[in-house]
Parts: sequence; structure tokens; C-alpha cells
Amino acid sequence: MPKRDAEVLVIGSGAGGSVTALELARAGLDVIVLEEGREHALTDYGAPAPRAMRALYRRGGMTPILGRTPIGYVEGCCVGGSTEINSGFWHRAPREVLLRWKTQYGLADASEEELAPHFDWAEEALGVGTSDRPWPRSTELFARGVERMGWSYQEVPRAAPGCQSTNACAQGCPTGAKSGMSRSVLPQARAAGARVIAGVRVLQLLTRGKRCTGVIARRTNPDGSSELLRFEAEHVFVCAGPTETPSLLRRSGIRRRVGNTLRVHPYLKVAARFDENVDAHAHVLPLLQVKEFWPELSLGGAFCTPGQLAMTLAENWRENRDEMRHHRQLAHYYVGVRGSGRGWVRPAFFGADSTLIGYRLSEQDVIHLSAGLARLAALLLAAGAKAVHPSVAGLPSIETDSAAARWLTEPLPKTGLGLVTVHAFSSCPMGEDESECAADSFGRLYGYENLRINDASMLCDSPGVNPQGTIMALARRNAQAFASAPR
Amino acid sequence: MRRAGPARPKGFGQRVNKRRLVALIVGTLSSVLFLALAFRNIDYAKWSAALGEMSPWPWAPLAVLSYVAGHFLRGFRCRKLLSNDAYLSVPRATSVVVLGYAANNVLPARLGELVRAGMLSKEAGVPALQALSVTLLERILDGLALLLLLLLAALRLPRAPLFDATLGVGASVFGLASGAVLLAVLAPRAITSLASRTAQLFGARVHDRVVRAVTELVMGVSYLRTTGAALGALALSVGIWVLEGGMFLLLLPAFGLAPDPFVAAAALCVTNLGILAPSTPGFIGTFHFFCMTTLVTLGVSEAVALSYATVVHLSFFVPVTLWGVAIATTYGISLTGLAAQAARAEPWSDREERAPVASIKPTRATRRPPSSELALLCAALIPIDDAPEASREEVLADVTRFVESELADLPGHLPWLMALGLAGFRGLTALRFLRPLQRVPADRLRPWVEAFAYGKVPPVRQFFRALRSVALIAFYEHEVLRRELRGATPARSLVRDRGERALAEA
Ligand SMILES: Cc1cc2nc3c(=O)[nH]c(=O)nc-3n(C[C@H](O)[C@H](O)[C@H](O)COP(=O)(O)OP(=O)(O)OC[C@H]3O[C@@H](n4cnc5c(N)ncnc54)[C@H](O)[C@@H]3O)c2cc1C
Repeated sequence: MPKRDAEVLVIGSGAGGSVTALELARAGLDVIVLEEGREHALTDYGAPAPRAMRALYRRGGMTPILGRTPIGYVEGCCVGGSTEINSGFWHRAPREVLLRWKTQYGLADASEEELAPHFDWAEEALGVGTSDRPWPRSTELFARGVERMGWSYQEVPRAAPGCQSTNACAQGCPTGAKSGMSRSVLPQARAAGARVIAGVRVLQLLTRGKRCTGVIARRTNPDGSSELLRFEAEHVFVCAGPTETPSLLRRSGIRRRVGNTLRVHPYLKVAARFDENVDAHAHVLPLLQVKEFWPELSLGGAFCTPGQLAMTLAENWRENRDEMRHHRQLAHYYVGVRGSGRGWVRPAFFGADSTLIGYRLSEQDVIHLSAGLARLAALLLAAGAKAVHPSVAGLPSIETDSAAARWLTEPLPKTGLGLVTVHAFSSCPMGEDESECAADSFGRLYGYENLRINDASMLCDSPGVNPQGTIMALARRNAQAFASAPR
Repeated sequence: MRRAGPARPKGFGQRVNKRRLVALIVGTLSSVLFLALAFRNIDYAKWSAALGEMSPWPWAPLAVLSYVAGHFLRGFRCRKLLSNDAYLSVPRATSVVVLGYAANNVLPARLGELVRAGMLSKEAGVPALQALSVTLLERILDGLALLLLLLLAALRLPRAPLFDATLGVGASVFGLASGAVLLAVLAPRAITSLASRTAQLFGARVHDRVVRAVTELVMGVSYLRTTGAALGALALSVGIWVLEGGMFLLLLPAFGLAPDPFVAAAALCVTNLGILAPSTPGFIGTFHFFCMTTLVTLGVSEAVALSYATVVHLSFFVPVTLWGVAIATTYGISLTGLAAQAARAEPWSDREERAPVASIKPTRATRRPPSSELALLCAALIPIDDAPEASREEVLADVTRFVESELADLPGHLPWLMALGLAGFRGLTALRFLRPLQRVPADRLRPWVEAFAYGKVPPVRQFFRALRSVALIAFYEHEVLRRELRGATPARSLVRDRGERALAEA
């Protein structure tokens, strides 16, 4: 038997990787987690956005999704992955979505009932729940708007027990209240024996026939020097996230159904000015979501800092820049669509080690975004907003109901849309339908005996809700199935 | 970990010596052949008369001076090419270069190149293959510079098949080599990846060696990653060969020939491209033949041409060899020591079982002031006047630095597209204002930049979106601005207050 560094290598320590490491370590397997990003202390979190972006985000936050309508995209690159910089909103995978995955992709053993224990476990582990503090003003105003429109809202549970409303989720929660993986699941995985090695980027999977024998990785030392290292293991779980997993697989010559089916939830943001101080920048983001129009549309609240407001206003900066003087009266909201377009992920041929991402926004998406903008603007005007500034180039601010209603029937100009997303998935879908999927229903890549994926990339398509819960539940299910199977 | 000395697997010594012996034999045969060709039609009386009539003063010393100056420039170029990974002073880099040249003059089979790489590895503390790659890169740059100069000369001189043939062969050899370098510069990851995937077929040991070799070779050309650096290196190379061409030029009048720079350039280029052919150490025969043939092609008599070639060769051979001996003495290196330096740069040294596949030195971070052009663009994109006057400079510098690092972090080819776009914008600005961007007054630059960044043409707007988004975020999230914005509680202290309270409660 050749010498191995571990029984299982887990690449990535985000939502998928951490859960995988914990379950496998608990099952008594010798696990090494290789994480590209660094491990940060709580005191490093909550730094001003530019510093936080450089420390916690992949490529300092510069991972645009290319296309006729480019989309701003960010993901985490640190121990804990994107869960360290997300807002912790929690949803279970809707029944309808799971049914679709079963029928369209042949995803086996993933019904609502079968996933329930995994969701229960994750919710318990992360302390998922609603806030017991009074709602911030930006949330109250949103609720008022929803009520006046005659719709319903729900306060979305969050994986942030004891949230102190510092509004620093995207810079790493400095109070430790948010249950990012580095504070919740990874310590348990370590306690169960998993070894987490930070600052190690896997460059290449080493394969021989139907087996993956290990990886070549680059360890970057604090002085900036680095070494290429070889790690060998019996089994490899790639959990590098929705863009890096397909990129790594493709770079390693594994291309079958890999990186051709990226899905995202495109978001259109608006800045709404009220005639009172909302001070959205000083509180946690609005906690409500309108699911009235789900699955096509959701409306909700976005992170709000002066920098982020400026980015939204920047689509029409010459007209809007003075609004920044009233930034205390501004709050930030979004229209999110399920995303029926498709994207691709490729390792960049040119330049240093990087990944290129593309997405083709569908006409359907544009129609839904337009109708969503109409509804959100109407909601905010009903809540008392004096002006709603959408991040659409060339679009004047919306100040009346009729100006809002126009977009119920008219599509927004595609090339003017300033879209963003933080939800990407399905770049290597799993399921029994080999003609559609890269991996089987439990994440094992077709054509390989010991190579698996277990992160956002494995979702069959867009879940239409915040994905972390679904990723964790499926990752736990897959890891447990692997651990209990005879090897 | 590498062993201290030049490590050799079993049988390595014999294999290498055999290879060198073959090279020595082939080189000697080739030298004899070229010497025979050179002396084929020579009237010895005329040849020695031409040598006797040569007027060395002041031409010969000036020629040697020009050649020696070229070596300092070579040292400077070598230092530049390594500057991302190591600091090497110009005198030290020059010593390494000269030692390599001197070794080529006394050791067979261009062993000097390996000596130079070995020394470079030792002096700069970079992996041997990276040093070898730098040495090869210098050679390719030399080839390109020579081709450029020869092209210039050929355009001015009467058309000759010799020039056409040299240009043709040179362009094929160096075109291919430059293509390979370009690929390594533009797509380093893709190359390593391909090497890794291919080498996997041959087992772990071979795989790791191949990956290490390719990684180090690719690192050796990494200096060329920016267009400016690449063009700078090429310009330096042209400078080096202009100085070496000075030697060829200054020796023409010593033989009563007109000091025509194009004739000198042609002789320089054909000779130096010609000595790529195998020969004895010191390029005896090949040097003489190609130098002489060039002059004969341009109408000089064979006896004078060969005398000229003989003297140029001596000016090329003697000073550098002596200089090299002096350096070797200072470094305490003997002839066998030189061979050891060469072995250091051999690609396939043995390594310990669990050592890293490859080690990469940290890139030397030089904290440069932010680009002034980018600062102007940022100033036009952000409402800098909203920052307190006393801190404006600091805020703008921080914003620019952030934007610079963010743009550099764009994936794949996007940083180049960005650079290209910015260059285009600079050009348009210069056309519009008839002066460079830096000299356009701020109040006129702002509306101009805004017309692009917020204009009606989607691709242009999208190009500027990345720039303006990061500039705005850096500006409004700057601590000074957060403090300044009316009523805004500085984020950090808010976070700290609540964070500390939460921690205290916990
Ligand atoms: C700003 C933001 C807000 C969000 N808000 C929410 C929310 O409120 N609710 C929700 O449900 N979801 C949210 N998400 C999305 C959610 O966080 C992600 O969907 C989820 O974390 C994805 O999990 P993952 O394991 O696939 O990838 P990640 O969590 O991103 O983890 C991947 C890890 O792999 C590492 N890695 C990548 N490549 C390599 C390599 N080659 N070698 C070694 N390591 C590597 C990365 O550094 C990273 O740590 C948000 C995301 C962001 C960025």
C-alpha cells in the first residue's frame, strides 16, 4: 500500500467542506482539510471594507461574471469560506425544488423528509433562529411597505444567534455572533480529529485511471514564499465552492458536465430615500423577504454601507451623487430572481492561477427583474420612500407609482442593468441522469471511484432561496452515506 | 531539500561526460571545417600584410571599451530580469555574466551558459532552473535584438543572400523560442497544469520532477509579465548589442575601412548568429568565417576581411577571458569549480523523498507610490472634495492603491484588457486635449472621465464600472470619510463597541 497523507482530503473549508470534514472525522476517518485562505482571529474581523475585501474575499472581491450583462460576484477565500462573509439568512430547500431535482436530474434520496434530519442538525449546530431584538428602522419600513401592498413577509431565520446588529456581516462578524464555519462546524471537526491546513491552494488533482491519487497544492508562507506540495489520500472531496470546484476539476482534465451549467440568483439593488433618518448603515440589514412571487422573484433587504450605497447610485452618478449627502435617509433593498440563464466556469488560460466565469442572462430573467423592480419600487414608495434609485444605467429614479408600474410590462434595458450576486451553484450538478450531471446523487464524479464533490457546485440547479442550508444538508447526507458505505 | 553540492544520481557523471565529449568532438570538427572555409582562398602574404598595416591606436582600446561597457549593461539586464525574486547588485550580476562568457571561451559545448546559471542560482539564491531560464531568456532577447539590428542593416545595405538566409534561420529559431517564452509568460498556470497532467502518466517521481522543472523555468521568465517590462528588456538588449556593435564599428577604421554603422551591424549580427553553430571553446573558426564572409559580401577583400575578423575575435576573446579569470580568482573558483557550477544548473538533480515538489521565493514587494495617472482617474471618479482638505491627499493615495491592487487581481486576461482600455483612454484624452492626461486640468478632466464612465455606450461604461465601483467603495469606506459623513458613526468603533460589549456579555 503506498504511503498516504490521510484517508480523506477535503479541499475547501466552506459550507460544504466543513460539514464533510466533521462527518468524516466523526466517522473515524483520518481527514485533512486543505484551505486556500487564511485563518483569522475575531479581532481581524469587522475591518473597513477595503481591508476586509483584501483579507477575506477571493481576489479581493474581483471575480466578475462576464457576459453581455456582466454581474458583480464575490465569494469568500478564508477558513470558513463564504460563510464568514455572508449574512447568514437561512432557508430549507423548498419541497418544490427538491421535486424538480428528482424528476429533472434523477436526484435520489433527497426528498424533504430525507433531508429534514440534516437541516435539523445544521440549524441546531448554527443556532439558526429569528432575532429577539427590535427590528432596525430599515426592516420596519420594509414591513410597512409590504403591509400596505397587501402582501405578506417573513422574517428570515439567520445563523447568527445573539446578533449585535453591527452591520459588519460582509467584513466578518467581529462579535462572533454569526455562525460562520470557522466558529461553528470547523472547531467540532477539529475536535473530532480533522486537521485543517490553511494557506494551501490545491492546484491540480492527480489522477490515475479511475482514481484520484492526491493533489498538488501550493502552500503560501507568511513571508510570501511558497512551496508546491504533494498530498496523497485514499479519497478526495472537492469542496472549493461553485466556481473553484469546476475550475480545479477542469484544470485537472476532468471536464464531463463540469463547469457548463453554472446558475446564479441575479440581484438588482435599489437605494430608497425616505424623509427620515433610517441609519441603515448602523444596523443589520433588513431581515424580511417577500416570497409572494416566489419562485420567480424575491424581494428583500441588502447590506447597506456608504460604499455600497454609492455603488448602487453610481449607475447614474451624475444625477444621484448628491443623494450621498442624505445617506442617513437611504436604505438598500433588492429584487432577486431565480435565474433561468446558464453560465460557465473555466480555469483562465492566460495569466496567473485564476478562474473565469460567464453567464448569459435570459430574457425571462430580465422580465422578472423588471416586474420585480416595479413591485419593489411600489412597495418602498408605499412605505414612505421619496425616491427609489435602481442600479440601472440611464433609468431615472422612481418617484411615483405609475413610474414604478411601467416596469410591470416593459423590460428593463438589458445592457444597463447593474446586477450583482452572491449565490452561485450547479456548476457540476449531481443526479442519476448522467446526460445532465457531473456526479451521482451522492456527489461521486462519474468516471471516478474515489473523487467526490460536496459543495454549492453539486446543486442540480437554482434553489431559488439562500443556498447555505441546502448545501450543508446535502453535504452532510453525502458525507454520511460515504462514511457508512463499505470501502 | 537539495543537497549542498551539485547532487548527481548514479551514472550521472558518466552520462554528462559522454555528452560533453561528443559535443567537444563535434565542436572541434565544426571549427576545423569553418577555419578551412575561411582560409580556403586566402593569400597568406596579403593576410599578414593587412594585419601588419592595422593601426590599433586608438581604435582597439576604444573597441574593447565599448565591448566591456556592453557587459555592464548585460549585468544590469540580468539584475532586472531577476528583480521580482532576488536582489543582485549590478557589479555582482556583471561578474556572473562575464564569468559565463569567459567559461564559454574556455569550456566546450557552451558550458558557460550553465556556469552562468549555476553562479546566478548561487548568488541570487534562486532555484537552479529558474536561473537557467533567466539565462536562456537573455539569450532569446539577444537573438531578437540581433535580428532587429540585422533587419535594419539589411534594409540599408545592398541585398545579399547571406543576410536573407541569416534573417530566415534566425527568425525561425528565435521566433519559435520567443513563442515559447510568450506562452510561459502569458499562461504560466496552463503550462504547469499541462505538464502535470502529462507527467502523471510516468509516476509520482517523474511527475514531481517535471512539475518542479516547469515551475522554475516559468518563474524565470516572469519578469516579462508587464508589457512595459518586456519592452524595457528588449530595449536593454538592443542597447547591449549596440555597444557590442561599437566594437565592430571601431575596428573598421583600424583596417582603413569606412566606419559604416550598418556594415558593423551586419558583421555583428551575422557573426553572433553564426556562432550558434557548434565549435571549439571560444568560437574559433565559426566566428572568423561568419565575420569575414559578411565583409566579403559587402565588397571587402578576403585578406582584409579575415584580418579584421581575427582582430575582432581577439578583442572579443581576450579581455573577457582575462576578466573572467580575475573574477574566478576573486571567487576562488577553479576550472573544475566552473564545471561544478554548471552541474548546479543541471535540471535533473536528485531530491529527498518528501521534499516540496518546488519552492518559490517570495516576490520582492516594492512599495511604489500609486500610479499618478490612476490617481487622476480616481480623483475624477470620486467626490474627493467631500473629504476634509487636510486628508484629501492621503485618501486619494489610499483609494488609488486599493484600485490598483484590485485591478491587478482581476482574473485571466482581464488585467491586460484593462491596461489596454486605459491606454486607449489615455490616447483619446491626449487627442482631445492635445496634452497628456497628467496635464489636463482637474475641472476639465472630470466631465471627460464621467462622459465615459457614465455615458451611453455600454461596453465603455462597463469597462469603467470596475474602476469606479472599487474607487467609490474605497472612498466611502475610508475611515476618514466614514468619520466625515454627517451623523455616521465610524464603522470600526461601532463594531468595536458592540463587539466588546458582546464579548464582555459572553
Ligand atoms: C457576501 C455573501 C453573502 C451571502 N449571504 C448568504 C445568506 O445570507 N444565506 C445563504 O444561504 N447563503 C449566502 N451566501 C452564499 C453562501 O455563503 C454560499 O453559497 C456557501 O458558502 C457556499 O458554500 P461552498 O462550500 O460551496 O463554498 P464556500 O463557502 O465559498 O467555500 C469554498 C472554500 O474553498 C476554498 N477553496 C477554493 N478553491 C480552493 C483550492 N483550489 N484549494 C483550497 N481551497 C480552495 C475557498 O477559499 C473557500 O474557503 C452568501 C455569500 C456571500 C459571498
